Amino acid sequence: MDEQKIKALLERYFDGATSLPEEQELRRFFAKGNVPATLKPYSALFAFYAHERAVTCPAPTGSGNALRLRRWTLAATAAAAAVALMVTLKTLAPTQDGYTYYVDGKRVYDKEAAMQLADAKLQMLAASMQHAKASMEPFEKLHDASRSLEQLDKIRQMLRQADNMIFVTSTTK
Amino acid sequence: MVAQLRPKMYRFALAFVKRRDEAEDVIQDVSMNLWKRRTSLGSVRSVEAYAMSAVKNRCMDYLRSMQGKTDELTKSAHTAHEQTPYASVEQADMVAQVKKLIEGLPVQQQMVIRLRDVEGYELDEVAEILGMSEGAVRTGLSRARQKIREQLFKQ
Repeated sequence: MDEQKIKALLERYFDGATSLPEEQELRRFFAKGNVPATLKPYSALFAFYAHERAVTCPAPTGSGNALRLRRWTLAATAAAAAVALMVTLKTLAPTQDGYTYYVDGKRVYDKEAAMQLADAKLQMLAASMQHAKASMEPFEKLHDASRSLEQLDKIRQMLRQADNMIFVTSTTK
Repeated sequence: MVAQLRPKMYRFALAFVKRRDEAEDVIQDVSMNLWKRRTSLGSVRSVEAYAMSAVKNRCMDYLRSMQGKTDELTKSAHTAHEQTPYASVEQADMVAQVKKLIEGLPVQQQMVIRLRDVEGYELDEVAEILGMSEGAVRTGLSRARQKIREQLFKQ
C-alpha cells in the first residue's frame, strides 16, 4: 500500500471517520515494519494496540477463586487451631488432681494456670476469627456470600465447642 | 458466550483497575451476575454489550474507590504492564510511552479508545456499552486520537 494512501487513511483515522476494515489495513501496514520515516511516530501507537490485544486472560479457576482461597486461609487456620486445642485438652493424663493439663501442646501442672492459659488461647482464636471475618466483608457484596458465612458459623460453633470442653475439664476433678 | 468474552472483559478491566487479581475479580463477579440473570437476558439487545457495560461500571466503581490512592495505582500500573514480552527494548519503550499518553486521557476517552482500537467494536456498540450516543462516541474518539497524535509528535 502506498504512503499517500496510508497518510490519507491516517487523517481519516484521527478524525474518527475510518471503518473497522480500514483500521485493520492501517494495523497491517504498521505491523509489517519498514515504515517510512514520516510515519514512524504512528508505529508506536499501532504497536501499543497490538501489544494490548496480545494480553491474555488467565484461565478461570475451578470451584472457587484464588481470592476466596486467600481470604479463607486465615479462617481455616483459626479453625485448625481450635481443633488442635480441643484435641490437646481431650488428651488429659491423671496426676495428683486426677489429670495432667496440656494446653496447645504444652504441659501445665497447675489446674488454674491451665484454665487461664486455655482461656488466653481461646481469646487469641476469637481475635483471629474477628480478623478473618473482617477480611470476608467484601464477600458480603457477592451473591454467593451466604455459603461463606455458613462456613464462618460452623467455625464459630467449633470455637464454642472448644470453650465447652475447657469448662467440662475444669469441673472434672 | 461469557467464556468467549472473558479475554475482552479481562483486558478492558485490567486497563483500568491495573491489577490482575482485581481484573479477575471483576470478570468473575460480572460473569456470576450474568449467570444469575440468564433468564432475563433474552430481552437484552446485545448480551456482549451488556456484559462489557457491566465491566465498565465495575471499573468506574473501582476507580471511584481508589480516588486519592494514587500511590497504589501507580505501583500497580507496573504489574499490568508486564503482560507480554516485547520484541525489543525500543519497542517496549515506545509502547510504554503510548500507554502513558493514553492513561493521561480522561477516563471516558480511554474507554472509547480501548473499546474501538483494542477490542475492535463498532461505534454503535461502543455507544451501547458506555451508555453514550454514537455521535458522542465519534467525537470522543476523534478528540482522544488527536490528543495522542499531538503528543506523539511532541516527543
